[in-house]
Amino acid sequence: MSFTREFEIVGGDFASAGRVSTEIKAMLRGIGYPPDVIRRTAIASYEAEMNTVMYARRGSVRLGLEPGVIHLVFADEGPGIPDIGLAMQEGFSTATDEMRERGFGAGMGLPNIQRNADRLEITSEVGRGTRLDITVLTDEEAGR
Amino acid sequence: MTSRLQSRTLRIDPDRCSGHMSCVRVCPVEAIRAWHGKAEMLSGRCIDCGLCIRVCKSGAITPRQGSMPDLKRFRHTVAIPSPALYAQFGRDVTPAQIIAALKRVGFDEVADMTPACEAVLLSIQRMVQERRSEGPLISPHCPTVVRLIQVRHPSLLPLLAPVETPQEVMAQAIRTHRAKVLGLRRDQIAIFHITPCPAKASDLKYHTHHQASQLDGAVAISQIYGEVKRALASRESDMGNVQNGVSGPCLGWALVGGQGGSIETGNSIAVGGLESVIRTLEDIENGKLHDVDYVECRSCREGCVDGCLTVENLYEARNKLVHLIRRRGSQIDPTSPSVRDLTERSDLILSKPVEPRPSQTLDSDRARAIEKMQRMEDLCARLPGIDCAACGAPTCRAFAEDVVQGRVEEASCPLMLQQRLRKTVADLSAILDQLPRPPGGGEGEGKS
Ligand SMILES: Nc1ncnc2c1ncn2[C@@H]1O[C@H](COP(=O)(O)OP(=O)(O)OP(=O)(O)O)[C@@H](O)[C@H]1O
Ligand SMILES: [Mg+2]
Repeated sequence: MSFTREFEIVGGDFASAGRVSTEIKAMLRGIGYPPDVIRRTAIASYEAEMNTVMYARRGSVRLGLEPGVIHLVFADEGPGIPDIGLAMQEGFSTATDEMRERGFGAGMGLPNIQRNADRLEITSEVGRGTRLDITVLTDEEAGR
Repeated sequence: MTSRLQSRTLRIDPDRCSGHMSCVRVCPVEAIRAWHGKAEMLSGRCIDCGLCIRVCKSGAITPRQGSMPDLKRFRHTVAIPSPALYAQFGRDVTPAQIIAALKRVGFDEVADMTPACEAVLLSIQRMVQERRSEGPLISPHCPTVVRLIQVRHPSLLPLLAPVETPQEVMAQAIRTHRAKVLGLRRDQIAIFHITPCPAKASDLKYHTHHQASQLDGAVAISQIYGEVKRALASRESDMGNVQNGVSGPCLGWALVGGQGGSIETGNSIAVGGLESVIRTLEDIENGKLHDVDYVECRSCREGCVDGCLTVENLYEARNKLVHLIRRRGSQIDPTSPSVRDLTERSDLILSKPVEPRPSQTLDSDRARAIEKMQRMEDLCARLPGIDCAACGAPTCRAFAEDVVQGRVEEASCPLMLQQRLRKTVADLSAILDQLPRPPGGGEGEGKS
């Protein structure tokens, strides 16, 4: 029993930004995960989707469901992150003024993902792109 | 089959339904199907928003409301009107006149919700001010919004302000007081809410919260409108003991933004219309809106005054309320004794949280649900994806769900069926082409 589904994300497309996360959330609801699991996954996926929209040219996300775990793999073609440790710090942001006007750029996205996911792995190559591996454990299944 | 198809609040009359599909498409929770050319309701899904009632061209969808209650059956009858009622009957008819007319219709008493609205608002104000945790408080007073959160956004349930609705608070207080003063048993008193929407009516039977409702029934504004209008026209105007009058904060209760206008919060927003409500709830769930401390969400675009069981033109009705509020002010008087009494009641605050109602789950077994989701995805990939609704479901995705859940056959997608027929015809003709032609009469029109 497993499930995978891939979604495309278009860089710079603020008008439909967040739509992929909404769709993912609807699927998680259909599976019947506990509210807290859905909430944590939704926040992580939304922040990662927004980063892809804001910083990358294009990207995709693969949603994978297995017993006890939700996997999200975001992979984008974009500028990459030169210093991941720095990017992970609360408040660090390279958002433009325009992004800030839209209410982004508080430098809280990556820390928020870290907080809500059970595991987060970031790999990035400057000039090529960034990959986020996000894992959320769906607790009460851990023992099955 | 029909046994699992129903809404507890709405009724679809198959004889009047003309199969237009407007209701199927408009339903925000995809609760309606038209598999056999007539609309039917998937049970347990409806959130009582009433959008289907509004869009149905043939008037086939009606609220399941009882007939007007026989008021003479009870020792003491009380009407608690939604403030949306005061917006009806034109600009020149005051709330006090409407209350007097309601009495002439046959209620022993008409209780205006002013003290309850104000007490509830003061409690919310305190909760907002004392709040420390993340995320805004959400107003719990539109039953459709509460149901939407139960069904679609259960993770937001802890953000619902744990307060009763003013009509419940009012009913509880009145029953206790009148039973004592009139020397009646509690069950000899019958209390009815005059409601602008089916959601508030069904909330009595299926109280969104845990305790049983304090109201004995609901009467739609549209149901009683004619009688009140007649009573207003008759001369013998008994303005008897209509006291202080309906206050601004109470009238504001019927309008989007009316709540926030009467309480002091740092940064509250008001959202009207289900589509906007859903978008806002999504935002909150995504961790946005952290600077907002109170969110007033209403299923109807303009608030209760826009309820689908109201009669008067919406904008005229809305104007009347705005005008009245401007004259009466939107300030709450926290020292008023009736408000203070109610504020101190323990039943104002809900003791238990509202529970989720996951009606959109594919299977109660997690592993099977995941398997079904995969099957849905696979089927979706093969479906035309144009959401034509010809199969009776609002979207291809909803159709895929129906198939996976065994509600319909895959072949009930007309486009898939056509594709399959085409293929069958092509296969057959390929077979025919390979067969040796029979001598003589075998060649017929096919060759012409
Ligand atoms: N996919 C990405 N590609 C390139 N750079 C990224 C990517 N994701 C994050 N970054 C870099 O890391 C920084 C921090 O990201 P983070 O999401 O924590 O904050 P933010 O996006 O700037 O602001 P917020 O998320 O609060 O709106 C970004 O400003 C950006 O420089
Ligand atoms: Mg970010």
